[in-house]
Amino acid sequence: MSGTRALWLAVAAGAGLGLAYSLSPMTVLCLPLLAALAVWAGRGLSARERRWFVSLVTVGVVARLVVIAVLFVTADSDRPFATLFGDEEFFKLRSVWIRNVGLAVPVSRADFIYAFDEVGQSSYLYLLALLQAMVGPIPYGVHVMNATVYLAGVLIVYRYVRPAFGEVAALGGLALLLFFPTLFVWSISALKEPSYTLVAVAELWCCLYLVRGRRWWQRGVAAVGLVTCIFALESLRRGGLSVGVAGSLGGLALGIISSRPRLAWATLAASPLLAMVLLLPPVQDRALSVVRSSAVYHGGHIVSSGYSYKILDGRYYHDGRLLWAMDGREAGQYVVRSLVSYVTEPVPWRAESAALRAYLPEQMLWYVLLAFVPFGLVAGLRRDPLLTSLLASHAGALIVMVALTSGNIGTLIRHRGLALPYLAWLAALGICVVVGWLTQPSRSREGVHAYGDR
Amino acid sequence: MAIVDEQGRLWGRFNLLDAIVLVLVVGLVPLGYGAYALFRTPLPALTRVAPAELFQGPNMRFSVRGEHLRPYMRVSVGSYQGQTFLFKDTTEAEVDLVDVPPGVYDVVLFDFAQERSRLPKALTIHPSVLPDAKVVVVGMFGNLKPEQTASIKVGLIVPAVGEVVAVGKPVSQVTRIFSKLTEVEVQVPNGLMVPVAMRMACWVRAAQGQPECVANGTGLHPSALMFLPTPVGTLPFQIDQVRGTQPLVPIDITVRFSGPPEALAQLTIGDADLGEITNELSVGGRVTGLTGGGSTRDARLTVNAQQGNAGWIYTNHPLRVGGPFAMKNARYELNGTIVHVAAGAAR
Repeated sequence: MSGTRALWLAVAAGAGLGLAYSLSPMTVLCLPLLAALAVWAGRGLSARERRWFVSLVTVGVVARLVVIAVLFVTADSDRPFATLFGDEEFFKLRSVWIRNVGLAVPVSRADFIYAFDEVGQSSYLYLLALLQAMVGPIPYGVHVMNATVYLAGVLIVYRYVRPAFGEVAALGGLALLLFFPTLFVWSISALKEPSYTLVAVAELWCCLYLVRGRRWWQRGVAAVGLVTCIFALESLRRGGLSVGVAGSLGGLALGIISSRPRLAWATLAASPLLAMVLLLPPVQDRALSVVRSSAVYHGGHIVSSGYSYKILDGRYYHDGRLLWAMDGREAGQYVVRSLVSYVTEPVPWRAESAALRAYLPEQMLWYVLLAFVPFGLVAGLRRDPLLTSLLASHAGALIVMVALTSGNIGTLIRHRGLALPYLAWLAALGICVVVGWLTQPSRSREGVHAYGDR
Repeated sequence: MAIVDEQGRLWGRFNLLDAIVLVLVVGLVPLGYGAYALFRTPLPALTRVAPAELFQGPNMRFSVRGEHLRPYMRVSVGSYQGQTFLFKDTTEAEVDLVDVPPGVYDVVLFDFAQERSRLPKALTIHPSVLPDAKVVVVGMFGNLKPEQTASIKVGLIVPAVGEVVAVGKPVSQVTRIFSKLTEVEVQVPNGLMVPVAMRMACWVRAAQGQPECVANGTGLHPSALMFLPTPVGTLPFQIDQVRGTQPLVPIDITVRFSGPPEALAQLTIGDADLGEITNELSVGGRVTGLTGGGSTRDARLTVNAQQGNAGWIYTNHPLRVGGPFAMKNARYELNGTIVHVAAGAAR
């Protein structure tokens, strides 16, 4: 290629890139990043596995970009921008207002008040504001950015799940997380779920390196990263701190115990002592207080708009103040019922709207996935106790937190998606195990290995 | 001559693939411009306001004219947000204003994100055609701690509202709230109230033909709750009584009370008429003499009255022989008829 031709090509490429950047800066910034992530995540795969991987990721990315493009093209000019969900407007508007206030661009006084309203405060708003301060308003670019953020999280977990759970389980988990319908929609939304997923993945990664770091400084960096990620989770969503602490401490403890038989036996022997501690009045009082506060949240969901489910005695919904006097027996019932509702709601025979009926196929898929999780959990503990424990404990912490505080079906479905990035890998492994048993019954235990190459 | 030769060149001159790429790249330019022209949101602008002058009062509505207006936009006058943005078409919308004081204002157009257009000094709001007024308002500053009560003193200026002209002794805090049509007294533990009389400036508005005086955005009525700036911060101020600014003059009157003898027997010399609301600065009267007994008693009272156009006014009611008089305090409530107003006091 002659120097002149190369120069013209470079100029044309630069002009094209500039034009594309002026039309959609986030697309220009995110797509190369996504491509680099996919190349990184696809390193070291066999040719066949790579074909599947590339196909899944390409379809996942293209499908998302197509939906975002349709959203853009079908926007109504009577609205400032189109959204997939009502809540997105809240993030798009508030982040623009915060950005404008930061840049001293005059905004309406009402907007100034709402921009800094306590309700719905999240570091995600400031992240969006910062991005928009750098590249300008991104009412549709935010969807591309969130798709990138979500896919980055999924690809990172794929990288460290694959060596542990095997190629088929890893590809299965990847496919679930890319195409599970509600996760697909959340991943391209302007909501904070994708950012939460990425930070949660980073937190999981730090937990792993806290134990597996080869040098002391690697472990030190992982510890700092872990603390940072936990606080980032809390800043994104209230309760993130509890989930991060419970998930990481529980997962690390379970992972270490389950990989050391003597320690496991010692823990089992000490379990009555632990049970006695849990029965101490101060511990009981604290637990009761937490359950009562959670029930108050639940009661708030019941009166919110949309469809809800009730798990408390009717008098508590009539007079919410009674919740602060709920006794231990009813609190225990509330905990059990809330966990059951977390799994079963929306029950098919109470799907009251067209949207809920349309959701029922995914609900069936949810039931099926959950059924396979225990198999994946047992197999995972045999293959990689630490990773499996961390996935299980984070999922468990999220399930408990969401179950105790939910009451609105739409919100429950949305928040249930937070646990899926942990559960999907265990479910995929569980499916592999069960299929292995069914197809090779004589190799009951070894069947797991047939679906993976550790 | 073949269009594409054996070496893949177009008309023997250009590489076919290069030509396709060139056409695609060149084609992208009109495509890009077309997309820009189609999807670009044109910037809105205001061109004028009609009418450009309004009189303060209810139903202040004006129309903004401009281009590329959208239903989600908003308009403010100065720092006062318009209550509505009634979109007619992309060139016109109507805006309602509430409680915007007189002045000359910029009219500012906002889209969902930021200010987009401004017409400097485009709207003038004139004072209400009804006159400004001054009244004396008796009420209580609340939410005070003991050490803060001394800050409320005669001469205290409450910005844009008025001046304190009399101060009473601190009392325990009670806030009156409405429960449907009845008033409920809500005790506020550890809170103190200080009775004050304030000379307030207000403007008269006539909502649905009912004139009332408005200060600090609040109609001045007994039990109305205002939030006023003071040296110890913004304090609640609940109104007990509103009266004119004329001086209070002690007037001797005689009232013939009738009713059950048990009730009339309660009347004793020195009793005070406190009205509906207990505030030591409310206008009051005191019994100075008693005659008669049974079901009719004549009481001589000294009341603090104000000179009105048609005679003496006491608690916003005229003092006239033959007129009604109600005496209320913590022990009893008696109704009677005025039988004598001191000659020297009468107009």
